[in-house]
Amino acid sequence: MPVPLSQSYGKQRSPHRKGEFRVLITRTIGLWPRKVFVQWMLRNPSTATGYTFQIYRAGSSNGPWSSVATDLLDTYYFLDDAFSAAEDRSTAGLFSLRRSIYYKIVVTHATDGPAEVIKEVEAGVDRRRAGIIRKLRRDAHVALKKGSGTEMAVFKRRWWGEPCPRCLSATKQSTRSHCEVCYGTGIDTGYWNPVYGYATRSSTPVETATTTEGETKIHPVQIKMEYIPEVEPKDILVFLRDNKRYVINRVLTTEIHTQTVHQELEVSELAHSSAAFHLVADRWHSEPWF
Amino acid sequence: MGGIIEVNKGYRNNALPRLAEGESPDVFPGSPLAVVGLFVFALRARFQDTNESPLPWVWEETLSPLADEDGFPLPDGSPRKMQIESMYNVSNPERNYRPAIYIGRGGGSVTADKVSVDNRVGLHIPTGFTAYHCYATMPVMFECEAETSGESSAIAETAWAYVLSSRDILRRNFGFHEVTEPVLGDTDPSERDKEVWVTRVQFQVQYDMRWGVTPIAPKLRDLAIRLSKDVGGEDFYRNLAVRSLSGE
Repeated sequence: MPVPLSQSYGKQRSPHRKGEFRVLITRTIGLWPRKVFVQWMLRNPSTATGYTFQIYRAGSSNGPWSSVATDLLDTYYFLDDAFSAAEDRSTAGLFSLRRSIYYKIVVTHATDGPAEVIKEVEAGVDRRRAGIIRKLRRDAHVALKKGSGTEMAVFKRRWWGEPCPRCLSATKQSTRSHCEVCYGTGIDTGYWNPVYGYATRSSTPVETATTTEGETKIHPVQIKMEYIPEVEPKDILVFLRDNKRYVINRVLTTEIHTQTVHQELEVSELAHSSAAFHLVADRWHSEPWF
Repeated sequence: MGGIIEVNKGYRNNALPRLAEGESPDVFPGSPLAVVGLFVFALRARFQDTNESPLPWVWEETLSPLADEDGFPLPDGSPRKMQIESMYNVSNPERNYRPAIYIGRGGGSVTADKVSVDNRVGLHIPTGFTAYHCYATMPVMFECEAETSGESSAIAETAWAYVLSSRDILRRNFGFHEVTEPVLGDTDPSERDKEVWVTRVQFQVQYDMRWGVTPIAPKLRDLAIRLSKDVGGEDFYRNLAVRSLSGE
């Protein structure tokens, strides 16, 4: 029997499919500038009730996660309104034009589970288009992993969190760009956990500019990477093979129905004196990669 | 600084006056390069870790990072090495190093300010030796670079306060006629390999310039002989001009 399709998001019937117990986030939509609506559903539950959900939030798909709601019993949506005003950096704000926020939902039950799922705040599409987008994303992943790409890590910069305990001045400004705690961001730990993936970079010449103080080397590079994690300017990219590090200046997303398929970046190679070289991303300090 | 130039000695040896043996033959006391070098030296002394009030930055002979056994920088609280360098060392490869202070004239001009008629201050009649004097006014600029605006501002404030509070000492010890009160500029972003913040500290120094001119008899006689050999002397001047045009 063919699966009925719907052109409107969230209206299609969910066909029963045998499989493992799991949880799916079906909708994450920003209600700018103060709230985010999150909705989820269960697949293959054994009973109708008794499911407990924990909601977490982070700025990267690899965490670390902070809890925003605990022990929601048989609830299938959550309105996250714990967003701060523009001047408050203690918690996430929704005022940036390009800010990735990830939600993780963990479900526990007496007999099922546990299960968890992670999803970014992004528009949803209907099932048919979701399939097309999934195919394109997979193609991009395979092309980068098996073809032109090489191993890299993304350090998403923290824009909210606990203030740096060491270097922050009374005006909430970092006075040490090489602080070992915040790396000049003013936020404790500075960057989210690295997300590993594949990317390809263009081969461009190093530009030598003569400024008043002498010769300065600048190396602009174009990079293509997968759709996740969605990066934003000032995030750090590390190519693990040669340990070259780049700061992101511009992000160009390729979108289908408002959903990102892959990302094209304009980045600049960081000088070797940069604080970003203190971030640990190599095979000796993280999970085996090569 | 200009006050300790040994004018006579330098002149007689047909060389620039020297402050001490072993100095660069191209830099003499009172030259802009020497003034820049002086402030490079002074700032390095300020940021050395031998000071009683430790700073988060330290200047050392080498910029090689301090490292523990794993090759990673020393942990919490270790001061960050800072580069303090003249802007004239354009061939140095460390220009992408931050934090740093670069010292130069900042695009300003050195002016010679007249204080007497035609700068003359004396004449020795038997030899014809004429002594001259003026004040040279030179702008000095520190470019304080860092990866964050707060750090750039904090470094510049330290340098600014250092010059402000030690103006008298600088004048007394280095022969400056005047060291003006420094101006602490705004902190501006600048695009290098990444966004770098630059704060400028600017001030002016004024110092004595003294020199002398002694007519040398053999050279004057030689000129007179050459002029007399040519008819009326007119061809001599014309040849000088035409030769440069005809490529002879």
